[in-house]
Amino acid sequence: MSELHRPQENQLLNATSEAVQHRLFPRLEPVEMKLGQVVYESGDELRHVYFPVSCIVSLLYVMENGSSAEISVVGNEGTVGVAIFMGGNTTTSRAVVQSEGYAFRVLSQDLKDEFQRPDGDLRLLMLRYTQALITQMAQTAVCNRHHTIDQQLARWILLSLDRLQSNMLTMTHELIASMLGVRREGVTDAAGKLQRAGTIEYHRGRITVLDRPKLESASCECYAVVKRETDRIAQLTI
Amino acid sequence: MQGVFDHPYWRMQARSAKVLNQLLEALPRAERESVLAQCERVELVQGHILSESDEPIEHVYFPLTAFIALLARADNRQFLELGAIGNEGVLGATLVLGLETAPMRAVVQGSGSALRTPVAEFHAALARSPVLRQTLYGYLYDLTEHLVQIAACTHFHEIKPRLARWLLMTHDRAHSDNFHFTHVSLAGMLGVQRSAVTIAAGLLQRSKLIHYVRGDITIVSRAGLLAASCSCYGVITKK
Repeated sequence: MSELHRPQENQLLNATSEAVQHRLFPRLEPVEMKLGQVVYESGDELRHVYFPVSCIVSLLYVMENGSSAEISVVGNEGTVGVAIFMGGNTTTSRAVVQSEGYAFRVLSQDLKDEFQRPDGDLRLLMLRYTQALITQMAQTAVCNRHHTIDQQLARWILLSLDRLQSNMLTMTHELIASMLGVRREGVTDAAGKLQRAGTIEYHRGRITVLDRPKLESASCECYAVVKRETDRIAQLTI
Repeated sequence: MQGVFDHPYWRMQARSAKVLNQLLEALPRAERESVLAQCERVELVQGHILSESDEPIEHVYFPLTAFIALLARADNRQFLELGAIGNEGVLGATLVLGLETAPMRAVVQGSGSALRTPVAEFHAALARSPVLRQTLYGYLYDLTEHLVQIAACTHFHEIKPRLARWLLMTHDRAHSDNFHFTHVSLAGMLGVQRSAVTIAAGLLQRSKLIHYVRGDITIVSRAGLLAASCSCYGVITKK
């Protein structure tokens, strides 16, 4: 159903000039992103750079013993593969599809070529996005260390939903636990509290937000920090 | 050219002080000299905040003997150190991303000297020099990978190997076997209770890897710390 999607649904691609779109869009390939699909593994060479349109991709850090946790989440506001233009061909994090949908991808070399062009505005947009990504990574790390699972869960649901422009998310407790790097029971408890407070409804792996302001106040300030930076960067004009 | 060689950086070299900024050293000569021409030498004092998250960056710092910690903020009380910058790097590399604000708080971790340049001059240098931009992209990539590794380490590893990892990273940047940190400030950087630091430091001290009295830390056995640290130290240093 990729013909239903246009590259412009990705905010970075949408903000590029006509000249960039003229050069880059013919090189974009629409791809279906399945739930749980590993987009790239830690240490892999990055062959493509992805621009999500209707999916969410999680970047996870992975330990030697296999345990993992999310360090950032990327939706249609961003791109997966910023390492490419920063001079790294690999990355230590793993990228996994957290919510299925579509993305456009481009060969790394094609993106590098566009990035090198002195007149291309894609570079500016991707660099700014990188700063938002660094902010998100730092905030997620400190949030994981200092905040309760209840707060983290609220933060995580909000960030995910912002990237889907929806109030519904399909997700098992197990998957959320692996994203937050906690035990499943912790997520079940936290979700139970949010449900009893009338903040969300959680039924058969489907999370529906009933009271968004309440969910925002249940979250720590980490959500606001990440959202402010993401919004600020999206609003800057070239 | 006399102006350039009058610069404190070169005078310091002439005094055969061995500590140079490696990032500047790795630049082609013309690039290095053009950055140096804008720099002044400053003495940084431990605890001094050089930039604050979400606030405009005023100066770019190239540490010589000083070193700097990058801290993320959970709230007004709780922080976590996610990066360390010594004479291998630069504070303010994110300016190459085109934004004026700092993503994290930067605080002087070890007193010492650094070179600094005002942001406006540095922007001009960036605009002139593709090599400088490329160097900073690469450095920022490393710093981001370090951030991810430290985040993972913080999440999954015990305090003792984490403390050993932190001591090794600090040792690398301190140019000395001695440095000063109270248990409270160490706890703040590692994002744990003070009592946890006291216990972990006690264990390292009893194994004769460090000597720690009233905030004065001495590295006694670097090899022992390498063995006590998690693999994260190796991962970070390789990058």
